[in-house]
Amino acid sequence: MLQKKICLLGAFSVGKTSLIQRFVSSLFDDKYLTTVGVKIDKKIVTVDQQEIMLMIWDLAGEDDYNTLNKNHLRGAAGYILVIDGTRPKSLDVGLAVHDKVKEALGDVPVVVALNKADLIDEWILDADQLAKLEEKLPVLRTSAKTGDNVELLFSELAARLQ
Amino acid sequence: MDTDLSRIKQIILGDEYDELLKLRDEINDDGQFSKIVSNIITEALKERSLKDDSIAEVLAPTIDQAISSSINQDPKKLAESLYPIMGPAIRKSISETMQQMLENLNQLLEESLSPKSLRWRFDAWRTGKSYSELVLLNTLEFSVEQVFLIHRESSLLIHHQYSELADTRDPDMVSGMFSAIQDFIEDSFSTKEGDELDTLRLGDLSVVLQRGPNAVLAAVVRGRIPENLRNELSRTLESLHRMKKAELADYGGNPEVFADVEDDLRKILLSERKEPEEKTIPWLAVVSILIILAGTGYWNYLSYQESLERTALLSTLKQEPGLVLLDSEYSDKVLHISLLVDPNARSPEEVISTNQENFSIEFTEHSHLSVIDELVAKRAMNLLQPTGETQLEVRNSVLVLSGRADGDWMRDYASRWPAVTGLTAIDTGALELVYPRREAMVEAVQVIEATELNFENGETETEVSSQFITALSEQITELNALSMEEYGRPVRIEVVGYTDDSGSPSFNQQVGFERALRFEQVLVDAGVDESLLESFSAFDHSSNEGIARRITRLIVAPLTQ
Repeated sequence: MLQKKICLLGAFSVGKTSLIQRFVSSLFDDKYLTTVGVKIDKKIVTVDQQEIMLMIWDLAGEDDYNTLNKNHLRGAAGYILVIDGTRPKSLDVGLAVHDKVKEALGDVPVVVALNKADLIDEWILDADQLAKLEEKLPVLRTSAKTGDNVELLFSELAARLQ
Repeated sequence: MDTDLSRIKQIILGDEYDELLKLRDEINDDGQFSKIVSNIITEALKERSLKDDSIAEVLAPTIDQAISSSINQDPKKLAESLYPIMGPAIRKSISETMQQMLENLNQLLEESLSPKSLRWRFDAWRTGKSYSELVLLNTLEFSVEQVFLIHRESSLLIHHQYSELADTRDPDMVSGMFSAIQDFIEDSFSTKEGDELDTLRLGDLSVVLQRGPNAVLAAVVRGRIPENLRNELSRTLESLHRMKKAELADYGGNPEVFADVEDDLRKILLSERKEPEEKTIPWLAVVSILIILAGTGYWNYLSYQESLERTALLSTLKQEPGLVLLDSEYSDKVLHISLLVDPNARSPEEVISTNQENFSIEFTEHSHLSVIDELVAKRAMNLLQPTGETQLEVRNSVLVLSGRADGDWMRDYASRWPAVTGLTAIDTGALELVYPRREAMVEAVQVIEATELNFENGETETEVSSQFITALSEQITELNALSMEEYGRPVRIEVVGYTDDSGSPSFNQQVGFERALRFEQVLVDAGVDESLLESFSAFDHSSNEGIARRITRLIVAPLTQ
């Protein structure tokens, strides 16, 4: 079975961990994420009738105190950028992260998860900004709470992986 | 103004105003407020501690300070308070330590008495290592339970091999964490550029990591890390990089490309288990040992045989009556034996009549008298010289005589037997004594007394052949000699002359007497000692056993003492 390493990136507290928690097989406790800075999960998805094993590296969220550990990005075949629709700052951080990753990994597939879709009423993202983002990158509106589009999110990325 | 305002407040609030004032005074007065707080402080603390740990946090520094200050002032006080809990805690700790020590000691004793430990001691002596080091090497089992081949850049698991005993959790995720952990350490502590995590260890479990340019091998080891594991990992990695250079450099996540590395990884699992000792047989050593064993065995057999021979020989000497073995020593093929020898015993040389081929014997003899019955009998035989008809035997130091013995010998013997060493008594109950001289005398008496000389009527002379007289006189002389010898005194022979009934008694008496004298004279003439003979006339027929014949006869007086 083909294996691919992907990363889950985004600002602090955008729901990256929640997003994958529900349907991946988890060996490690969440505390790894806070102590070691990374938590690794596994998810098998099927693309074009071919199974791909995704090794999902859930990296600690970036904020003013934590910066992205580029070592963790090494060898990633693609990544998911998570943005919290209720926090405009997470879009800025996400975009900055995106630039950093491009610098480190080159042009690898990416899918953006606009998370907390269940709270869409509370979204305060600028429509312009969103449009620009959607122009640049594939975007899916997801909800870790309801599970909406989560499966699709990983399949989308898997489909784009070499 | 103030009073007015107070009155207005009084009018509006009524009695409550007074109570408010009172309450304010109570709060403002430290003494009163303390009293109020003291009433509820315990309940308040209890209530708050149910909510959170803030009380403990707030009080901790104060308590720390209080304890320090108490120790500074008087350490004894605190020590006494802690005593009831410190005592049992220390005892428990000591008892656990002792228990552990005993268990270790037990194990050590068991180990040190087993053949295995003897071998280890030998190995320690041979290799110059310390015994404890060898025990450690030999007793600590190890096994390489799992091997991960990980793509270095992506941390994806390329291949995973594990032994049946290994507890494997999702190896894909674990392999990712290996590199994540290295990153974590690099981030957390200042490390030098190029430093790499090479061992993770928890208790007796270790993860040995070996890195190549494109791949990492991680071996999970339980127990001691084998010395050559790292070399083995390096070799495998190098060969992988050689064989699969392109695949590794450009790994796209398809582990099937590496399916053929299974054997290489499996080898690490297998080769690093406790290697069984090689079972090849060192023939040269075996043959040499066999030859040495056979030689030693034969030599031992010979010396065993020889020692058996010596033992048998000494035992023969010991059993021989009259020989007492004092000491024996074997050196330089000579057996030195010192012993006590009874003069009547067989000599030691005679006892061990067989020829000794393997060694010579030297005797040192000391004479002694044995009181063993057999030897005492021999001694008695030599001293007493009994005749052939006498049987001599010694039973429990008592001389038992049987058969027939000469009376002379017996008389003589009575005074001599105490001179025989080892005799305490004699038993002659079964011994028949014989007196040959007396028998000869009885025979002689019979012959002499059977002699009769016949006379014609009234005659005192008769014809007697000189041959007969000579024989008779010799008989008498011999009888006398026997009597002298036997009884120490001469024999007395009465020459008695008889007559028939005719004639007067006085005449007859005269004639009888004449006839006796005549015979006496003939005997004396023939050489018989005159003093032995006495002539009588047996005229009274009634008193002369009714013999009324014209004869002269000889009667020998009773031959008793």
